[in-house]
Amino acid sequence: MDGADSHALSPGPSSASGAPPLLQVRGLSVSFAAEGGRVPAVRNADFDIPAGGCVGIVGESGSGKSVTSLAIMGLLPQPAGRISGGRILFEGQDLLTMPPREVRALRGGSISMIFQEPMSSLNPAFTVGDQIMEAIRAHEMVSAKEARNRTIELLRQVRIPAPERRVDEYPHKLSGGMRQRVMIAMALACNPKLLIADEPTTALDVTVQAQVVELLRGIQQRGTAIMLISHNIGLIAGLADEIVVMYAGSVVEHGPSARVIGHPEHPYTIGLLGAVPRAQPGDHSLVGIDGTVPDLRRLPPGCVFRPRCPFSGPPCREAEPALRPLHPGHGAACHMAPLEDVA
Amino acid sequence: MSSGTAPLLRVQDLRKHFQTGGILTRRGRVAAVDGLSFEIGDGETLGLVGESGCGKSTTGRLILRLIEPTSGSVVFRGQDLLRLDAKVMMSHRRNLQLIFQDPFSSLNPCMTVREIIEEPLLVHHVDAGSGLVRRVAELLEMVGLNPAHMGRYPHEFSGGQRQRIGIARALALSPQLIVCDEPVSALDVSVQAQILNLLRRVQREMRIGLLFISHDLMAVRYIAHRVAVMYLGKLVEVAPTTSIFAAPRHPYTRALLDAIPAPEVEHRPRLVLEGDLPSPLDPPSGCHFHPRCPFTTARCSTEAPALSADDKGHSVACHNWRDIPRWGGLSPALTRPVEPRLDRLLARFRQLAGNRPIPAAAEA
Repeated sequence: MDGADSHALSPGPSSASGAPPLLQVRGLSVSFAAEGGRVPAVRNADFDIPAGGCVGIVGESGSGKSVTSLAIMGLLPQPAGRISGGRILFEGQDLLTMPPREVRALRGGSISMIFQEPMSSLNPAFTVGDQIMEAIRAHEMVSAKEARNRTIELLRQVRIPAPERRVDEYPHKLSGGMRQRVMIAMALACNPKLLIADEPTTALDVTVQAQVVELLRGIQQRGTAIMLISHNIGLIAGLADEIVVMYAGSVVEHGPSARVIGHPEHPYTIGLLGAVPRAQPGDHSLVGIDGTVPDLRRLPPGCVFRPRCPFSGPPCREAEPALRPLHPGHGAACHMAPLEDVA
Repeated sequence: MSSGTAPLLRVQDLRKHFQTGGILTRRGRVAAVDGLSFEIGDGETLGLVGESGCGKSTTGRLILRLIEPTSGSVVFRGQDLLRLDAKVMMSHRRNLQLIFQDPFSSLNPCMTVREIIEEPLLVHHVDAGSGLVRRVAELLEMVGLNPAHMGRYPHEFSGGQRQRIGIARALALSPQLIVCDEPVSALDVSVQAQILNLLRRVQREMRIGLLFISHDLMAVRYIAHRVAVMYLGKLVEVAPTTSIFAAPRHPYTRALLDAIPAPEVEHRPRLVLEGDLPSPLDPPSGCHFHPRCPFTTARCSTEAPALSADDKGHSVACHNWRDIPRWGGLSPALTRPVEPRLDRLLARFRQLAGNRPIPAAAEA
């Protein structure tokens, strides 16, 4: 797909007001070295994140959602992972061509990230406070005392009880939910403009998940843009203004949350919505999408979703569909869309 | 269940205490399962819900005697399993099966699918001889796998397919009770739905009693006839699925229901609990839930509430459930009927799944 197309597709709330989006991902492709050649993990992904907005990326394992975030952060495993094409523009500057020193300054500063596993993301040998202070002092010239005060303030912000005491504790003393909050405090240390949250609640208990969701909502309300990555479309729809649906490395649907949930156009999104148990009246059977996510090393020809798709027709075998607009701000990569005529 | 006959399974005052600490640390005792009592009827699915560390998995293992309880009784078809000697217990095991959470570590990578599914049949001397292959093929078809693949090894299958193999193995001996321990939580969403459908179908068709252990309330609602909610080793609420989702009585159950992410931006008042699960090493006094409970009273910190049932089979362990404000209900986004358009489109997926050659489970 060319650049003009994707611009037409992702106007986003901020571009309506004239300001450029905070983050623009254009034609991003990432591949990994593996036995017998390179595996395409992300193929030609396009999306924007407006300043202060929240964009949710939903997908299953192998969809490329986490790899996309690692590419933005410059954290792709080396030397296996390689960005084979595209641009990642942060405030108009291409992160991929920027000198490494400048990228490092942005990372952890203006762009920060929280991961799924709060357990393995903290260093067990240092106190919680040391680790947050390190993040602050890596980006700003502040005294140790000031860094400590800010750390305590951050811990209070993420609702850790008795932050004055917790600041000197080691990670093993904290519960999973508490550790995730420490990670969030660390990510907020330098007032980032963009927070990438990769499955931030998946490893947590149900009641603790709800706390973290509330916390993320508060962070966004204070002006930080969030890129929320999850396999849980319900979680995403509750927080994000826009949804990007990824499947087998490419963006298959993109649009405002309410529209994507209420009027999905890609068969994969439709199947995902049917796979989530709800409490609507009557005894509806769940819709399992037949088959499994394809092996990225052996992607089927044509549309990669075709083997699992109940709507597929002759064109689906021929060519991989491009993301095309079907409604203002809402597009899907499906030859058969809009599906009204098919059903 | 209430027909006067004995239930399939009756668990009474089941307890499991683990010793902790030892040489270097202070010795302690964890009451992982602390006086549990419940029943499962013939052909009934009981959902056991709780967060990590609440003792739900331990409960499943205690029932199967994979670990020995500290005290209590597990009466299966009128016989207390805990009093049986190893040999008699062994012969009972064919009626009691387990489906594991992790389809990757629960299948022996050195065995073919056929060997995996055959094993329980061989151990219990069922269908020996030429009947074996036929039975394996039948089981594979029942769980939606191609019998031609029985010579393959687990690594050749995806996570969802492996879970199907685990289910086929559990069904091999036509058990009367299956304990499923988080059977879908390691799977992708679209695959979870397949496995939930499969479990629900075989449970209904073969009238198996199912203990479905999960942290996912919506999955439990989909599959279970009754729901038991567990917190720090104790049951806090047990009720028919429809009643517990319509009017949960325990504040913890409400918090769990309110924590279900609704697929739309919403502003309804929700009960979001403060704090984390307390350590089971040092559980709070009185009602274990009182430090996190927004409706706690003085009595809650001193006196542990007992689980008491009403005449509709809805039990709750809370001193104040009658006095707390009415529950606002599940998010409308979860309860409203699926839009006609989406429903029509989803019908195509159902059709596709229905067209696949999965013969009905014909049981001898």
